[in-house]
Amino acid sequence: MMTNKIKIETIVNNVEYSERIEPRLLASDFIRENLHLTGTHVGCEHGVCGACTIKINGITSRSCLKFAIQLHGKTVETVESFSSNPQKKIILDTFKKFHALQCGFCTPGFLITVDELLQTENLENEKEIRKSLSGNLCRCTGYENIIKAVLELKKNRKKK
Amino acid sequence: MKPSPFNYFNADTIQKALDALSNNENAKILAGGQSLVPMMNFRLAQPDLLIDISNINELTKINEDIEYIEIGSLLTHSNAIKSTCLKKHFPIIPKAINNVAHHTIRNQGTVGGSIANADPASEWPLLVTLLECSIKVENKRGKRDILSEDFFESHFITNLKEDEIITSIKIPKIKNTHGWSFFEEAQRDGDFAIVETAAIIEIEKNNLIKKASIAIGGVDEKVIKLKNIENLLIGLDLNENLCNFKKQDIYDQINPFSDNHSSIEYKKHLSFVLIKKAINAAKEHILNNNDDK
Repeated sequence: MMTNKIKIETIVNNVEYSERIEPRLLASDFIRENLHLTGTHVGCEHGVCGACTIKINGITSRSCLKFAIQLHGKTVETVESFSSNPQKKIILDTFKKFHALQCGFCTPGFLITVDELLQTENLENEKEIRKSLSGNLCRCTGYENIIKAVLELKKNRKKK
Repeated sequence: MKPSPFNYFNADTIQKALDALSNNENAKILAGGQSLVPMMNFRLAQPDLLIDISNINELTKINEDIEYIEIGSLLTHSNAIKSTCLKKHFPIIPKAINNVAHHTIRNQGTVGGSIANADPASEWPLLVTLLECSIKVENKRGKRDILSEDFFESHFITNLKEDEIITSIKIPKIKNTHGWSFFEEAQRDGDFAIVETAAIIEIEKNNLIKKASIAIGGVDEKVIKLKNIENLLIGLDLNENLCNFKKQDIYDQINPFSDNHSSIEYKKHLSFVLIKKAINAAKEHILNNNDDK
């Protein structure tokens, strides 16, 4: 079966893109291969590991479970948007401070997820943080330092 | 891990989606895609046409009527948890739905998708069965309402015809004083349940039980209601021992299979323990005056 390429227009990290793609192209592959934004990592490709997490219209989504064609008309944020945004930069710096990563493969997914959790969830205690982050797998750190970083981020947000 | 080629149609109205569904063979509806897309990535599902209904906003609404709450099939799990209307009338819904997969999956996955998928160990089929909902489906020619007990048929098999789409779920309001509980045992946060149970107990003014609804998932080809236990509770005084039944009374009703995580014996034992826990917690909930309602 052959399918024609279809034109999509989408805004990724405040940049407008217009690309011709096949319907079966996953959003994760589109972001990495077509847009060359390789910060979004591809792990399991079936929604388990969380490494490919992005934001679509401000809400987190697995990019391996969306098709690029579904990004048409939508606004996308990837991990590349973090360093230029002061609010998100704090998350980067806190992860750095607590050494909340080792190899860094899972980190983009964690950063995007934590950014959303800080805005939408209460995260009253460590248990809630662990549950909220259960959809992101890290095979190096044992999660301890990631949890410490999120606890600190939460503490600092409350102060403000 | 890449899906096989397919054509894509972005349906922006229900009518366009229904037309496309009835005019094409091997077409699939794409809502949240949190179960369908993994299956497509594994090539377990290879539709020729994908009809994307995720942009039909009218299917995301929650409407309140005197007799029922009607939720649109495209409501995401996250929005179901956030809904003040659902929290007010059915606090069991946010409690249970918080156990659906993980945060990001709940952002995208939908009520209708979960029900159409009909995994016997997932939370929406349990709630829909417990709350005796009716499921509204449409095809090109018309609409029909299907009662939850007729909707689910077996593992991943429902009464839904190939040209039908689930558009909403009607949840009848509970008028009597009642208590509820939900328990799920899974290996990790976000995993599918090994066993999940929920109970609702309704009483009359004299503290006698008027109605009981007890559902269990993960231990049969579909979520089941334990009608023998429900009937046993009717007419009892709330302050009596409500768990005056034997293990075998539960075992006879369920038909679990063993898997990597647990044996048949373990699932049966867990079912018995969780059912007792659910009934007692629903009772406590009434006795504590529905504090958290």
